[in-house]
Amino acid sequence: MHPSVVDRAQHGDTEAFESLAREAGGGLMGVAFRILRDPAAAEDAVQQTLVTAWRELPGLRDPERFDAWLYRILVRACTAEARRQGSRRSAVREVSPTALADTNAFGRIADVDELERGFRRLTPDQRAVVVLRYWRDLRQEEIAEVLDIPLGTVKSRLHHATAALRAALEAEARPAPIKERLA
Amino acid sequence: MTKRNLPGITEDELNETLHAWMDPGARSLSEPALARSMASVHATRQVPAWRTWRGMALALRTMRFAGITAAVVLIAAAALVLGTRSFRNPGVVGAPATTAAASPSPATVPTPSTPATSSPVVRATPAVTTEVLSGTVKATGATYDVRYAHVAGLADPAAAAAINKVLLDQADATVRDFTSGIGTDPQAGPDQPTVAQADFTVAYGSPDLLSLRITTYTMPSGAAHGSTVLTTYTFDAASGRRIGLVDLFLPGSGYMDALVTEARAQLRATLSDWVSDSAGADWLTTGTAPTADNYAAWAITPGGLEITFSQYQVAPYAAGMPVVTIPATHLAGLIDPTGPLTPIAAIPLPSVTVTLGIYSGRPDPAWTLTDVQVAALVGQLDSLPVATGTAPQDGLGYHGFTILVQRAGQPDQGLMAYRGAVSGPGDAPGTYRADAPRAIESALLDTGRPRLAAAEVAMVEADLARQ
Repeated sequence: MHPSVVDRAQHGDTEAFESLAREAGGGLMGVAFRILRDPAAAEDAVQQTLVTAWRELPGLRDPERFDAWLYRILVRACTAEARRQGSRRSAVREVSPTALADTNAFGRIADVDELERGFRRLTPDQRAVVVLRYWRDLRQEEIAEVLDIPLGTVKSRLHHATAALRAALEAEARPAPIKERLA
Repeated sequence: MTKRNLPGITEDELNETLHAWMDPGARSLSEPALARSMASVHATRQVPAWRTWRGMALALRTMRFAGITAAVVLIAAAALVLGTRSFRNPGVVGAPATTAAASPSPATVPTPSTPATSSPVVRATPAVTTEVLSGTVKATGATYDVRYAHVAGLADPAAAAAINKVLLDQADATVRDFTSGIGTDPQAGPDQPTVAQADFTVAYGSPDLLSLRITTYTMPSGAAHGSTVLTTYTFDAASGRRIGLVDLFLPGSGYMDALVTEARAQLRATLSDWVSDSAGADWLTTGTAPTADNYAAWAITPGGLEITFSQYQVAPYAAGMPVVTIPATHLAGLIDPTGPLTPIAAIPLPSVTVTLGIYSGRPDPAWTLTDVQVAALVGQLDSLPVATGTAPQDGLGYHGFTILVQRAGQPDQGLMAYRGAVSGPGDAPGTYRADAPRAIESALLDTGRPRLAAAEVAMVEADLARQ
C-alpha cells in the first residue's frame, strides 16, 4: 500500500481509492468471510467497509497505517453484520468444501464440523481475534493495533476463544464412555 | 518441544489445526462487488478532515489554548453530527425472482380491495397473458427464461399494440444484454450455471389503467449471490401511453416531499435493525432522497401507490428489496383529480382484523391493521396468481392467519392464509391464490409482532421456515 496513493485518495481521487480497494479486497473478503461464515454477508461487510473508509479517509493522519485502519473498520462492519445476522437470518451457511475434503490436514484431532460449530459459538469480537491471529498471522501486538484495543484484551479474547475451540475438538476426540463402548 | 496443555491435544496441534482450518480457499472480492462498492464511493462525499473526531480533538486543543468558549465547541460538534453525510449504495442485486407459471387471473378472484359493486376496476379487462423467450447460450451453457406480459382485450387495439411493443422491447433487451454480457462468461458451467430469469406481476388492471412489475434476476457464474432488478410500467390502457410518476399529481403539488416523508416513516419502522446506527440512518436517508431515480420503481395497486427500493438502495443486501405502499388517501390534495390515483383514493380502505390461529380451546390472538398495513396487504393479495387444487388444511399448533375484511354497507369477507395459499369463499371451485414465498403470512406475522408473545412468534417462524 503506497502512502502516496493513500494520500491521493485522501484528497478525493477515486481512481487512487479504487486501486487501494482492489489491492485490499481479497484480504478484506478473506477476513470477513472467516468471521461471518457467509459469503453474501462478507461481501456486504466489505462493501460497507470500503464506503466508510472512503468517507472517513481524510481523517486518517498517518497513511502508513492505512492497512490497520482499514481492517479496524472491517472488523466493526463484521460485528455489526453478525449482530444483524443474529437477529434476522437463518440462512444456510457455507462451509469451505476444500476444508471438508482435506481432513488429513487436521491430523488425528481435527473435525471440521466440530471446529465450525465451536467457532460459530464465539462472539464476533472473539472470532475477529482468531481470524487475525491464525489467518492473517498477525502478532498479538499487531492485533491490538488493528482493533484499537489493549494488548491484555487481545490476550484475553484469544485465550477464551482458543479454549472454546479446544473444548469443541476435545469433545469430539474424547473416547466414548465405557458403558457405550461395552454396549 | 511440544507443549502439552490438555490430555489429547497439544498447544502446537491446536495451532496447527487452526492454521490449517483457516487456510483453505482464498477469497477474493468479485468484480461486480467491487463495482458496486465503487459506485457507492462515487456517490459518497468525503468527510472533511476538520469534521472528523480527530480533527475536532485537534481543534478543541487549539481552542482551549486560545481561550475560545465551550459554546463554540458545541456548535462545531453539532455541525459535525448534523452535517450532510452521503451514504448511497445504488446496487441492484437481490434474491431470485419469484416465478409464476402463468399470469395472474384476478378476474375470477374478488379481493378485499375490490368491492362487488361501485368499484371502477373491471377485472375482466385487460386480459394479460404470459409470453416466454427462453434459450441457452451454446458456448457457455448459460440459460435464460424471460417471461413477459402480452395485453389483449382493450377497447382500442392500437393501445394494446403500443403497450405490447414496450413490453416486448423490454424482454428483448433483457435477452440481448444477457447473451452478449454475462451469459458469455467462460467460467460458466454445469456446476455454477449462469442464468437469467424474468417474470412479471400485475399490480393493477382496469379498462383505464394497467400497472406491471417486472422482476429480472441474473446469476453470474461464481458470484456470491444473484442480482435482481425491479422495473415497473404503468400504462393508460385507453391510449397505450406510458404514465410517469409526475402524471399522478397536480403541478406544483410538492408530491415528492410527501413521498419522501411517507417512505422514510415506513422504512424506519420495517428496517429498524439496519437504521439503528448513524451509517444505516445515512444510508436510508440518501436512498430515499427526493430524486426521480430513487422513486423510479413505482406501481399502482388497489391499496395506493407502491414504491419498491432496490437492493442496497436504502439498506444492506440482507434487507431485500423494501417495499412501501402509500394509501392513496394519504396523498389527497396532491393527486390530479383527472389522474389514475383519484378513483383509488375514492374507495376507502377496508377495516382488516387478523387472527393468528395457534390455540385450541382458548382465544387466538387478534389485532387490527393500520391503514398503511391494509394498503400493503391489499396490493399483495391482488397480485397473487391463481392456482388450481386444494389449499392446505389446518394443522395442529399454528394453523394459519384469518383475515377478516369489513367494509361499510357490505358483507364481511374472510380469507385464510396458510402454508403458501390464500383462500376464501370468493375463490372459484378448485382454486386458491398461490403465495409460494409465504410473503402474506410473513407480512401478517410482522404486523402482529408487537402484540404476540415470543413463543407464539417462534411457532409461526418455525412453520414459515418449512417453505
